[in-house]
Amino acid sequence: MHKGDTIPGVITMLFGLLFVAATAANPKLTAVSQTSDGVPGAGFFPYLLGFGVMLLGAILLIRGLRQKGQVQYINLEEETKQNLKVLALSVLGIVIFLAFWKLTGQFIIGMLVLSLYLNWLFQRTWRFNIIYSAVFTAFIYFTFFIGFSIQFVA
Amino acid sequence: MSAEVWISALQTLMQPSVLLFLLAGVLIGTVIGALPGLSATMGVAIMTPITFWFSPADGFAMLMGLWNAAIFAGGISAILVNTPGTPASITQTFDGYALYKQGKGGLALGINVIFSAIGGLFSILCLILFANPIARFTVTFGPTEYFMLALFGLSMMVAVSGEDILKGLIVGAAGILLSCVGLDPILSVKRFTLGQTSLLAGISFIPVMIGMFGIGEVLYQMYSRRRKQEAEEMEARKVNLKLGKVLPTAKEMRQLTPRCLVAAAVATVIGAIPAAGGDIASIICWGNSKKTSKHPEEYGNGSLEGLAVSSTANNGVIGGAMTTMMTLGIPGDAVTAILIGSLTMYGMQPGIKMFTENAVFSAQIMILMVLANLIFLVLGLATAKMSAKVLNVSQPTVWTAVCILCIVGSFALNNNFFDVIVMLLAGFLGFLLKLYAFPNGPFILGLLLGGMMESNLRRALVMSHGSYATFVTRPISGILFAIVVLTLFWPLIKKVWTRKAPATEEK
Repeated sequence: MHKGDTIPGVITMLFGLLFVAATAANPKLTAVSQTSDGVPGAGFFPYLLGFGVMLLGAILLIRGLRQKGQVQYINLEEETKQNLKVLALSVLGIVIFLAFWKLTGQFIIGMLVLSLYLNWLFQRTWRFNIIYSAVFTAFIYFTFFIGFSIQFVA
Repeated sequence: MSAEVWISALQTLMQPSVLLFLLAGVLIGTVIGALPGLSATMGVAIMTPITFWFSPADGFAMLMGLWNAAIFAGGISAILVNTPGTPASITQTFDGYALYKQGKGGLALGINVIFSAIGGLFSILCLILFANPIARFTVTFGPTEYFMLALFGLSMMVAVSGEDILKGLIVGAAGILLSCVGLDPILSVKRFTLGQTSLLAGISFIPVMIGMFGIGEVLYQMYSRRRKQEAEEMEARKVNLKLGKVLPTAKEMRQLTPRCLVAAAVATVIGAIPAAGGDIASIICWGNSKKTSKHPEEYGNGSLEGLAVSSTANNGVIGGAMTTMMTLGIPGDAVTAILIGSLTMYGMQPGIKMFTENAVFSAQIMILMVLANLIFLVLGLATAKMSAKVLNVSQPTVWTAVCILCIVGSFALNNNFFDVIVMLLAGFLGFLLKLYAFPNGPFILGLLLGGMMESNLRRALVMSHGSYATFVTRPISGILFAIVVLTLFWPLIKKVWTRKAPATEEK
């Protein structure tokens, strides 16, 4: 079931359904305009596209089921597992950096730490890591903070 | 455009700052293009927020320099390491790498630079000649035609987005659906804003582009990393074969130029078709050139002709793509989609107004493109042998820089933290789309053209009192409708056709 186009098909259907449901829940989003006869209202396009996406998702789901597991998009080999771990830790690092920036307002320090962290994660040497992070942070600081006067207030 | 407009545009461009930004753009573009994994689209997406802090002329100087140079520089890695730096350089690997192995790497690099510039300049000439008349023709367009035009652009993107039209349709429709977020374009009713004031103006297009082509691409490269292969490639890059002479002889130039001018013309037309980019143009031109060549057996084995045609074609699409973008407001490819966002941020709207209200700026863009080609021609020839050094940069070095620049760039657009969140979500979406083999082009185009489609569809229906016949009874709209239907159903028609053909033969 997890193979091929089944999961993408389900997600696509849910995505379409989400918009259809949200449109139906809002009384202002009518398919036909209340002011002109036969002319579409604010809900026309979301309904049309929402149902369209649901239909296309259903076709994809059926196609996925008919593939009977012959099509696989994710091969969890040993190296891929390792790659996924690095990917997840990178995303986590970025999310933590954004939270830190939002909570403390310290952009430059956070960015320096993020650069050090990512380079460490990508197994770069410490010497390279420190020089790279320092130079890159200085570049961002002087270009954006000093040059463009961006305050980086989250 | 009158002579006064051109003179005025030239006067503005002769400022040192514009030329400096153009040079910087060419240098950055050369590095980005030469590095496999970094595309012209990613480069333009990341640099766009930075250019918003410059004047329009300075900003576009940098973007035009970057774009034109990145496409040409994609050939450097194609020639030296058999890996296309950008998708448009795919056919340059066929002959370029073979030439490098034969000890003619320098000549291959030289041909890449010279014929990329010829292709670029030819297509810009077409842009200069045809943009204004096309733009004037669009004066006759009403909401019906604009709706059909947007639909045509989207259908082309779906059709060329790979073999899987269903997935192209899904992401295209999803993009249009997300373009509904914000205020309704006709009645100004709030839609799907989740109480966020940041969403009233809709989902910002540029952060989505930065996320999809920046972070999304990096995440996918992390996922699909193959360390053994990477180590082998890095070792191969260290082996520097003799490059030899860079400049072709006058005889070689005479032999190659006519064929390349034909390729430039074909590439310009392909570039003008929405969504058909440099990769498609170079494949078509290389294939056609092989068919008509006196020495087809040399193609793929180090043919100077094959390399020259490929190099011409990938830069030849730029002028065509810009023609469609500037005159119709329909992006010819992903880069022109970002450029529409840039123009909008500068308060300009592609279409006829670009040639009436902003005629000087339109002329500036065209001149900047010419200058970008001339600069990379000189720089490329002068630094051809040094360009191999760029390839020693490893992928993880680039990943960290791209991640941070995406965050900084998306925030710098509007000093808005919400844009960073949108960028990150778009990056993750871009990664998932790539993972499950969905093309991301139709999504971007859907998001960009969704508003135009909806507002024009509804305006057209108001004008026709709710009659849908207006979309087929008006001549231009009717023709576009027929093309859309044909484009989307072509695979089905082809299938039926090929099934019928053997049956007829059997009878």
